[in-house]
Amino acid sequence: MKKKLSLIVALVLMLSLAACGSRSNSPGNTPPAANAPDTPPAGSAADPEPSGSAGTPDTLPAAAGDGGILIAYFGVPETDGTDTVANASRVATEGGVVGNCQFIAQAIRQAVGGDLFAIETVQEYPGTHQPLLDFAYEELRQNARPELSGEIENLDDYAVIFLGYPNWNADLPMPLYTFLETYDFSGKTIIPFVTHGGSGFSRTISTIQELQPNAAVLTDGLSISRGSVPNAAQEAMDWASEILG
Amino acid sequence: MKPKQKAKITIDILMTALLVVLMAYPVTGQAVHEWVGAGMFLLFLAHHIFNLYWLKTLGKGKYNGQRILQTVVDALLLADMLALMFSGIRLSRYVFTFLPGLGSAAAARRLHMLASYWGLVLMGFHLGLHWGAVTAPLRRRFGGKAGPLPWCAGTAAGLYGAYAAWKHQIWQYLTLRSEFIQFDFDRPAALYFWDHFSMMALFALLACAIVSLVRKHRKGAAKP
Repeated sequence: MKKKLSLIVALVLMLSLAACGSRSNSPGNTPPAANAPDTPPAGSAADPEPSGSAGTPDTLPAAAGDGGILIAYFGVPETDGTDTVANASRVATEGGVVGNCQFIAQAIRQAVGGDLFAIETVQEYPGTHQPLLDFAYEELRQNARPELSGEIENLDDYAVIFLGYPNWNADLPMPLYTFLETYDFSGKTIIPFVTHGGSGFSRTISTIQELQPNAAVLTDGLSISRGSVPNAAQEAMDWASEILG
Repeated sequence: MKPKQKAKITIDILMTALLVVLMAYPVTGQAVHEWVGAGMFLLFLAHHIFNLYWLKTLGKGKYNGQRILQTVVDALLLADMLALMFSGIRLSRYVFTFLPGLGSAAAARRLHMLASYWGLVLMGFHLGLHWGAVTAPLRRRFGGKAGPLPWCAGTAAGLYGAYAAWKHQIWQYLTLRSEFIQFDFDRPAALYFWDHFSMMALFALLACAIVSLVRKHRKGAAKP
C-alpha cells in the first residue's frame, strides 16, 4: 500500500514539473513580427561583456523609412554533398546555384527592394564540409579577423541594413566580426537573418549589438533552418515586408 | 567521520553537480563550460586517487553479476571521461589555447558531443550501481530505513527525466545524428539544469532496478 501511494505521489510530482516546464515553441524558425520584446537568455548574465544598449526594439523606428536599404550577406556554399537536398548549404535557382544566405537575400530584395552586398574575404574558405568546419572552428579559436575584399562605397545612403549569415559554432562567422568592426552603423537599423543547422541565432544578435552599440539591432530576426532554405523564399519576403512596416 | 571519508564524499557530490553544469553548456556559455570542465578533470583525478583500491582489486576476488556490471560501467565511464578531456582540450578557446590544435576540430567536436551524452548516461548508471556506497554513510549516521520519501522523490525525478530525455531528443546526440546541440531559447534556461539532473536520475534508477533484478536472480539461484 505504501509503495502504491508513493508511486502516485511520484507521478503527481512528475506531472506538475512537466507542466511547469513545457513551452509550445520548438527550436529553429523564429516566428516573424511578434510584438512582445525578447527576454535575453539567462546565460547572458554570466557574460564578461555587457550589452551596449539598454533595449533593442523589435519594430522599425519611424525615421528609418527615409533612407535606402542594404542587404548584406555572407556565406560559403559548399561544393560537396548532394545539391539542394536537406542540409546542403546552397540552392539551385533559375540563375544558377547560390548560397543559402544569398538565396534569402535575393528573396528579401524581391519583397522590399534595396542593394545587395556580398560580404567577401580575401582568403578562400575550404569548399568541402569537414575542412570548412575545421577551418571555421580554428578561426573562432584564434579570434581571427579575416581581411574583407570589396567595400561598401556609399554607406551614408543606407538607413536599414539587412544582415545575413550562417550560424557557425553558435557564433557569427569571423568575417562578420571584421565587417562589424570595419563599418560604423551608428544611427542605422540592422535587421539580422540567419541560416542554421539547429541552433537558430544562438547569441549572435547580442553580439551584433555589442559590436554596434549605436545602431538599432532588431531582435525579431529571420531564422531559417538550412534544410528549409529552398522553400523559404515566401516566408522571407513576408517577414521582410512586415518588419519594415 | 574521518576527514578522508569527508573529502571523498565532497568530491563525489561536487562531480555530480558539476556534470549538470557542464551539460548546461548552451546556458552557461563557452568560458564557464571550459573552466568547469578543467576543474572536473582535477576532481576526476582526485576521485581515482581516493578510490585506488578499485584499480588494485580489479584482478582479485569473485565476479558476480553486480560486480561485472559495475566494472564494465566504471571502465566505460573512465574511457568516456578521457575522451571528453582530450576532445575538450582540442576544442578549447579559453583555457587551453596555449596548446597546438592537433587533429581535426570537427572530429573533436563530434567526439565531445558523443561522449558528453553517453557520459550522462554512464554517470547515471555509475551512481545507480554504486548506490549502496552512496547511502552507506547516511545509514551509518541515521540508521535504519529511510522510508518511502527518498524512493518517491527519486522515482519522480526519474520519470521527469524520461520526459526530459524525449524533449531534448538526446537520442540524436547519443547516435550522432545531430552534430550540434539544439537549444530551445523559449524554454526557461534554469530548467536546463533540472532536465539534465533528472535524466541522470532516470539512468541511476534504471541501474538500481537492474541490480535488484540481478540480486533476486542470484538469491533465487542460490536457494538449496
